[in-house]
Amino acid sequence: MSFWEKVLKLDRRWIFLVVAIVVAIPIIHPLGLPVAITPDVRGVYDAIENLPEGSPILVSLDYEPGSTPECDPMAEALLTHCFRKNLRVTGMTVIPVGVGTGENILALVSQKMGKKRGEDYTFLGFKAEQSASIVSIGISLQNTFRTDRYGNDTSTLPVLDGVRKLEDFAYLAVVHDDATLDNWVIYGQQVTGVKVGSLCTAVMAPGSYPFKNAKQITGIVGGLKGGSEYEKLLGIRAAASLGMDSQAVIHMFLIVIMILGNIAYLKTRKV
Amino acid sequence: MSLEPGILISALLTLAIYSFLYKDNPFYKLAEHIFVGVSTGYLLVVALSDALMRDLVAPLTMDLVGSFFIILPGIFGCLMFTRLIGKISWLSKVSLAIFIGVTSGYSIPNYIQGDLIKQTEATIIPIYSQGQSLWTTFSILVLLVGVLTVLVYFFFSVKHEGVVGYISRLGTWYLMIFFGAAFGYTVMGRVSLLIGRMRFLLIDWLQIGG
Repeated sequence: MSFWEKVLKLDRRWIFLVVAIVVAIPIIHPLGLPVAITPDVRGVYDAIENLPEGSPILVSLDYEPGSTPECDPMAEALLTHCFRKNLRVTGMTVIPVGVGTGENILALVSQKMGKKRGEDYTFLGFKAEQSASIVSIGISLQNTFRTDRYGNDTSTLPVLDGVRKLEDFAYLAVVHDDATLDNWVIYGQQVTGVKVGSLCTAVMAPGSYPFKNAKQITGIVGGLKGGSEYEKLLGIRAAASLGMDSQAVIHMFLIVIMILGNIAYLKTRKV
Repeated sequence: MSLEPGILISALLTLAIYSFLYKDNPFYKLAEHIFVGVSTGYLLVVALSDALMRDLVAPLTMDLVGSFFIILPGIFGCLMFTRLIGKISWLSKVSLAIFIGVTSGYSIPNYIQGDLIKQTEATIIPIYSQGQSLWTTFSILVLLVGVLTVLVYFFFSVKHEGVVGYISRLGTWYLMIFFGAAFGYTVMGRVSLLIGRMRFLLIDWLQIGG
């Protein structure tokens, strides 16, 4: 059997093992690879950076536990930015499993930044039927969520002072791993004119670009790469930045084995 | 190594799932069944507490007169469950009809405005304007050609031969490039999930690196 035939017949489990090793090494010994900022991420960062202190911001945390490796670093960076700027953060979700993930990350970051629930932030919880909920929030936030998730009346919460509907928020950040951005843009941004930013998994990023091109959203923070760029803008090096070392190395490995595989296929092909 | 119960159980279940990469085994099956069961239970609890209890039961029990307007929608919502009872399952069609009618009513105009018209508007831009860089001009041209050729590709009322054939072939190339880029993003996304799990196993569980 020639070398190229051996390459084609290689048991894939060896490749899995090498992938695991290649991913693990930069985690144990970080490489500190540089991160370049893209205009897409800057679009979200600048929009929030330019908000006056005390502005209300709505953060829709629409991702499931399976997407936390990508979405948690982005959400953490976003919330850190919001709390640094002393913005009034209102969290919510339009997917059922977003309750756990959203509440977790909001509690984690608010505790780290010394923020008080009810005054600096709140979590409204889950509302069923995405599109109808967004239309309803566009009409009246208090009618849609009479209480926050902890039973407090939303009409008297200090964090929601002056906020009666979606357009009263200075910005809407959607952290998503599904097509919830489409609903927020079509039923929220299009109707009320609220500024929207997309923080999404890498899989969803291609679907967000048409909205960016049409200027319906201010920017896109896509995947772990986007999260690392956001962290760099904040001057911190956290999960996303540290994960990018492994990301870069594994991508190089994948390129090498793809080229090797294609050469092996061409060499062994019977013309 | 951390022996905190939550981290230990999470790490063992992660390894059980990844053991499938070697071959199918009972540990993988056990972890898979736990995942399906727990996620179904979690969804049920959230739907009950955040939707049913908070939006229907609590307002009606706390302020019946003030919440009278949710009684009828609540009844129609309950009628959805009649799908499970053979003889009266036709009642659920009433609720479905209202749901589909209302959803279509607010969806269609908003989608036409937000998706179709807004996206079309974004392609009607000057190819060149004063002060614009050559790169921006080139990008706009690429965008315009891409939109037109892909639209021609999906126009099946005319046979794709001759000039139309060449244009739709170019549209196919655009589609292939898009699929390649989307696949690249997908690979990046999946690798990110692997990195997240490896960081958990190495840093949070085994306490190596970080």
